[in-house]
Amino acid sequence: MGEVLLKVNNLKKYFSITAGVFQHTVGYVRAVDGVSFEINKGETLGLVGESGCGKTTLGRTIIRLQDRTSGEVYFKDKDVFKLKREELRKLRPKMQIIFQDPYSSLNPRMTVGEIVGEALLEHNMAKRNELQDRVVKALEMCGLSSYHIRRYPHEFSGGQRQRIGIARALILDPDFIVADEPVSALDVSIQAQIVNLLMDLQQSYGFTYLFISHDLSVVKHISHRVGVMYLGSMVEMADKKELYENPLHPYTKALLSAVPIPDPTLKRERIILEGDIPSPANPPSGCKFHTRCPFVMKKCSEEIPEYKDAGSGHFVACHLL
Amino acid sequence: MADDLLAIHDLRTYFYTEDGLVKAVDGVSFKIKKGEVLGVVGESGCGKSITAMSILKLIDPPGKIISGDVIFEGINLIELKEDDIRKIRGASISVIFQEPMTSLNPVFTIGDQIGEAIMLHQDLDKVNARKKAIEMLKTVGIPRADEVVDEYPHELSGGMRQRAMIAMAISCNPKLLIADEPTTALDVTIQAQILELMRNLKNDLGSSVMLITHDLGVVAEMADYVIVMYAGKIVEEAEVVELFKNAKHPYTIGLLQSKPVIMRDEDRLNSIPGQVPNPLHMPSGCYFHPRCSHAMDICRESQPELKEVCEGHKAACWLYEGVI
Ligand SMILES: Nc1ncnc2c1ncn2[C@@H]1O[C@H](COP(=O)(O)OP(=O)(O)OP(=O)(O)O)[C@@H](O)[C@H]1O
Ligand SMILES: Nc1ncnc2c1ncn2[C@@H]1O[C@H](COP(=O)(O)OP(=O)(O)O)[C@@H](O)[C@H]1O
Ligand code: SF4
Ligand code: SF4
Ligand SMILES: [Mg+2]
Ligand SMILES: [Mg+2]
Repeated sequence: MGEVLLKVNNLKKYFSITAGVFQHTVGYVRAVDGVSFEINKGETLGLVGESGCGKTTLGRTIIRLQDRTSGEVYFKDKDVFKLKREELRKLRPKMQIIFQDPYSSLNPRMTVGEIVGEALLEHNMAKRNELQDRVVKALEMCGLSSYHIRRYPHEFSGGQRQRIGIARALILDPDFIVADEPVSALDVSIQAQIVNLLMDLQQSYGFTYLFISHDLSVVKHISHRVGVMYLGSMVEMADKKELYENPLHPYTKALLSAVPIPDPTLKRERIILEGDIPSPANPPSGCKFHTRCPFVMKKCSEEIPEYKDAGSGHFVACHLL
Repeated sequence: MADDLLAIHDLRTYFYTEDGLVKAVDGVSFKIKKGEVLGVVGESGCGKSITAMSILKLIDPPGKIISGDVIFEGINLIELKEDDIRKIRGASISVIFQEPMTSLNPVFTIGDQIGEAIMLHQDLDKVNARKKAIEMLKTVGIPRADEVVDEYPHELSGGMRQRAMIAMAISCNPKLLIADEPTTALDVTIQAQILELMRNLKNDLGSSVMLITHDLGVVAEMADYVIVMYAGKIVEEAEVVELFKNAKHPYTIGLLQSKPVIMRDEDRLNSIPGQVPNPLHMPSGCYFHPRCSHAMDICRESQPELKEVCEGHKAACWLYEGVI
């Protein structure tokens, strides 16, 4: 066990649903609904789950890009939500995010040099005269060159834009990076380039990642540990090898069995789940997965299964265990 | 051949854009047998969708099919008038598009849309068309089919919309189903449901499927025969097991190696350097040469032809010149 960098304790983030001219709150979307976990320094924690299950919301909330509803997030033992203004300003550059969409996340009217250098100036982390050097260095670390500094985002391919997004994050010398589906919008051959880059940077600079993706193969490749979310809850988390070889939660088993394998000679048992994901505004009672679970029992719709350690840090929430 | 349902010969579809000529599909030939699933793979922009749309003459200006034959059951679709091809669209050949929202009409209920397709191509009245629509929705595993039939597309989740599209596409028992990235926008568990559905269609009705995807896993699972496209051309083709076991073209090999596999432990992914060429500025010779680690002088000078490199396996690459 390494040193804990980030500790999340029973974190909740609800969004209110409003209606009518007076925008009365008529309900809540429970995007993140009581999640606890830790991330060690230098580690990559992968986060998987189907669309809408709360991955992005979790990633954004733990770096305080938005407020929480309740719960705590400790970054290096400091409660991120209790920080004073000045402390928060100092912490900001240490926690960065890389976005899914390399097309919309870069300002089309700024040059690459301005985009990458902007945050450094904002945080008073560089003098104007050393800015250029720092930007060039960050671009080079991401496989771009000084030649690109005066160009605009639209002149770049998707993979290159994602490199710009990474350069913008790492120029601030962060400790922790939330990578939110950083390769999902890219073609396979380009995905591999970006995944390799992220892994190389971690090797060299010891970055800690929360790597969000719905692609279980990519997550397996890049992560040390992996968490599985369903409707705002963490249902299972374990070391990568353990999770992929010995999944305990029925949802994780179904997810893994649904991943198409690029080997036409392989014949596998497939668990086909029925139906769609229920709405997070009105989640099922008890175990939220009970409406689709092949092993559902009477108890499952009545009691919420406890999220607990099933042995050597393999956490799971299911009444079967 | 008697068991070919569709034969495409030397198809070329170009776009005459303001910036210049884009050869989206540039001399593509292939066949689909009866009851076969043809997988078409390649990265975005390589011409997969335009190939599919050309089959049904769905190309709008500035695009134009400039040459080629598309022989479907002995008829050359390219030579058909709009009225005649419309009778084929949605009946003997139906399409599931990449983005279900663009092909479902937002102002009509799901039932109206499926029903209309049924009435157009089958001799059923409104009441029976509606019954058939509900039956089709049930076939594709939509819960509450008798309610969903009266709902509008925006009221359905992505997975349900995609299934409604499939219901519409298979309602007339098509002989050929063209599915353009039918699961790309969906989560894996929903993807598994949709793939299962397409497999049943093939097994129960003996339909042929042209399955376009960039996911090699989906191809391995579904396809009988695979063609690999790069920059508007087919660069490799073979039966699915042969292609995955014995890929020849450096692009195909690169694609296979850049994808992490859930059941394997790889230290490092083998990425293909660079990116797909700008369609307005294609490289000389082999279009893949700027990214190919085997590139030789001849590759920069002259374009390799798609040729048989071993029995039933074709590749367009100078490395295999003269092997057969
Ligand atoms: N309306 C259009 N005008 C100009 N060029 C076009 C048009 N539609 C497609 N193209 C070009 O044709 C080529 C092939 O496009 P196509 O959509 O078939 O690719 P694809 O492989 O299916 O890509 P994707 O996976 O992104 O859908 C691309 O270079 C594309 O830019
Ligand atoms: N600003 C918002 N207002 C209302 N609902 C939101 C907002 N952001 C996210 N949600 C909802 O929260 C849930 C989780 O969203 P998100 O975190 O984006 O999931 P994911 O990234 O896994 O797709 C979804 O149901 C989404 O619609
Ligand atoms: S608690 Fe019950 S419904 Fe939930 S995953 Fe376990 S067995 Fe299935
Ligand atoms: S023809 Fe040459 S450049 Fe093209 S794929 Fe073959 S070896 Fe590579
Ligand atoms: Mg997201
Ligand atoms: Mg396409």
